[in-house]
Amino acid sequence: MWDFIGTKLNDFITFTGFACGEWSNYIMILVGIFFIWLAVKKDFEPLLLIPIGFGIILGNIPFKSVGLEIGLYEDNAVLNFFYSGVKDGWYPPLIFLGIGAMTDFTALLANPKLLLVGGAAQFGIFGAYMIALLLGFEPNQAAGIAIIGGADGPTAIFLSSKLSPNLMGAIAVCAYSYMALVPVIQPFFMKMLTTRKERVIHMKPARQVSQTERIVFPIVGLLMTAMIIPSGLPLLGMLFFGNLLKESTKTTRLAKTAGSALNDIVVMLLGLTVGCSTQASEFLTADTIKIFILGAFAFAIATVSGVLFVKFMNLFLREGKKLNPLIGNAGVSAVPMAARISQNMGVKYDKHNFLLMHAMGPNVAGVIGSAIAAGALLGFLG
Amino acid sequence: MKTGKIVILSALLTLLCLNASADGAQSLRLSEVATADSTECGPWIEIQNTSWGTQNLGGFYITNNPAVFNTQLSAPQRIEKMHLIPTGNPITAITPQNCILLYADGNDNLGLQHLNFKLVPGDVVALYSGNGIDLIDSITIPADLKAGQSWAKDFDTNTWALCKRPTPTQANNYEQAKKNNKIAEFKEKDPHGFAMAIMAMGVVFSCLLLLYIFFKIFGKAFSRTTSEPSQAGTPSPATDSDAGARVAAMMAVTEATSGTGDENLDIALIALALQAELAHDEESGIITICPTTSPWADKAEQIAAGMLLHS
Repeated sequence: MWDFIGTKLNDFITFTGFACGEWSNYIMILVGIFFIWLAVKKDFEPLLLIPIGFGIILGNIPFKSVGLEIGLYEDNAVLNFFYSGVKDGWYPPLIFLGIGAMTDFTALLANPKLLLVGGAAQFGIFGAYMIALLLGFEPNQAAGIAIIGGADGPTAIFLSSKLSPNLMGAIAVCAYSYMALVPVIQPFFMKMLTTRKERVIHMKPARQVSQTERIVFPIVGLLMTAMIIPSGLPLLGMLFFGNLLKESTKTTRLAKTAGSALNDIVVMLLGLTVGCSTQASEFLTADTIKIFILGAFAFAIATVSGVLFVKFMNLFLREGKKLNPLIGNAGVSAVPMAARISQNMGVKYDKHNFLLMHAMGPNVAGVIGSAIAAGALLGFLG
Repeated sequence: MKTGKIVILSALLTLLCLNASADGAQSLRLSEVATADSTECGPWIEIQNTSWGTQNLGGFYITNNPAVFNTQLSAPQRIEKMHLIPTGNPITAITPQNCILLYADGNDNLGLQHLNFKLVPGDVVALYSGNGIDLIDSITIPADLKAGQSWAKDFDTNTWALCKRPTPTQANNYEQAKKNNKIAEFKEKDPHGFAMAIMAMGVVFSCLLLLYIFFKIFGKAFSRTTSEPSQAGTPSPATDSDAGARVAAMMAVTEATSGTGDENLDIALIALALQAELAHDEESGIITICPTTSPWADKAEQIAAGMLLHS
């Protein structure tokens, strides 16, 4: 009997995580703990970094695959079921539904030229695409990586799941990490590219926007974008649908659910499964390091192009109608973090200069812009 | 009135359903055929699902009888001349971008993939939907189709051509091939990504420019039609500069009293105070900043709640 117990215990020990683990698993577990620390202690995007951090730990617990259907990539496993939302790309559109239901586009409608600022910041995506090609990535991989420059996690996941699924884990973690680091990355470039005089420009107060305009926006917005770029339909369709639920004022219950409970559920599952997908064997590669470097470039280029584009627009705008270049950084779709940075910078140089409302325009335009850019890349390469 | 609404809604739903069913059927296409004399494995018909959803061939009719093209025939008369593909079997479900092989060997007792007619060169093949009326697809096989050859469709050019190496169930992964071609083409012709940057940025700017033009014009037209003087007795909406001055004053107070210690919370409190103070009902550009604390974490709230409980 003791022999039997000894054999079984010996077998059991070979199945434990300690016996199956490699040093790379422990590194990734430490990375997961670091993400959770960043979220809890430094308040960096806790809603995303806590699920992702925990997912990293979960996905890197080593085990012997003997058909127990427990692993992320094993058919019929619960985690695999959750992962289908990432793999098949249906979590990102649901998040866009929530974003649409929560986003107020009035700042943009009051001053529609801010749409163009949101477009200019998307150059971060294509700048990073060119650098990625230089680093030797295939065009489809380069596109998946470059979308990090849109500063939009769901869009990055959506596009990489379609174009470069093997890099999706690294791309998603990189996109969310840099989104959390927006307050660290952007102010340097904003300060470097603007003069003191430009930073204290007071923008013209926004006009009132009627209810009809707000209802028309999601319908016309969908038609004008999705008709040109149908490959962006899942993201754009859900974004504008969510916004219509909100603005119609007749479906408040639906908008509330899309923007709160449903969105929270999807964010939890998305974060957790994206974290799980960063298994050491897939994640600890030279490509991941390159992706993180490219991500930093993408964010920097997006910020620079947004700020420079506002300065360029100012060349054609008459006095009194000029834009404060500090809102240019908000062209990336990190809502509302990027707009908050514009506000903080504005107030820093002039305590009476409140840019938050003005910066929300390019910020929400950035959401639309990055979804269109993802659609364009998918259309060309998918 | 209520009946009218129900009728309109029913009509719309019916239209949608009809459209959906037509879409499903239209995505099934004859893709390759081989006759009795052309391949070793016998005559077969390959049907491809060109859509991105699974389509079931069960309930459709297929035939090599040219008499079915007679438009004078009623549906039951036409159905009599055709072979029914049995329903209720998962074998007939064709996954996206995939295909099914039907053996036109005249032995339909061998299984549901076997048809009751034998295909020979010069025959027609017609695929009809379940109602026996809608012709989904049809082809005429060349009379000179030789042994070892098949008659195959090129979905890129939408034309049929002679295939010297028949590829039953294999040569239909056009989409993956097209995708690989696209990537290879970009790699070869645009190695530095300039063309992609120009094209894709062009697309992004075109869409946003269109939206800008539309809402610029729409906004102008609309603000003209809706500009009405404020009603007497109701507070007129404050201008941004007024609000700015108030915010500045409040910021000064919070700075002097060091606020709550949390900048975001201070801004939120100011926004709430402004919202309470000003009539914001129709005013554009209101942002709600959610405080990072909750009643569960907030000391003041806990104390207040505790006092309430003890009172």
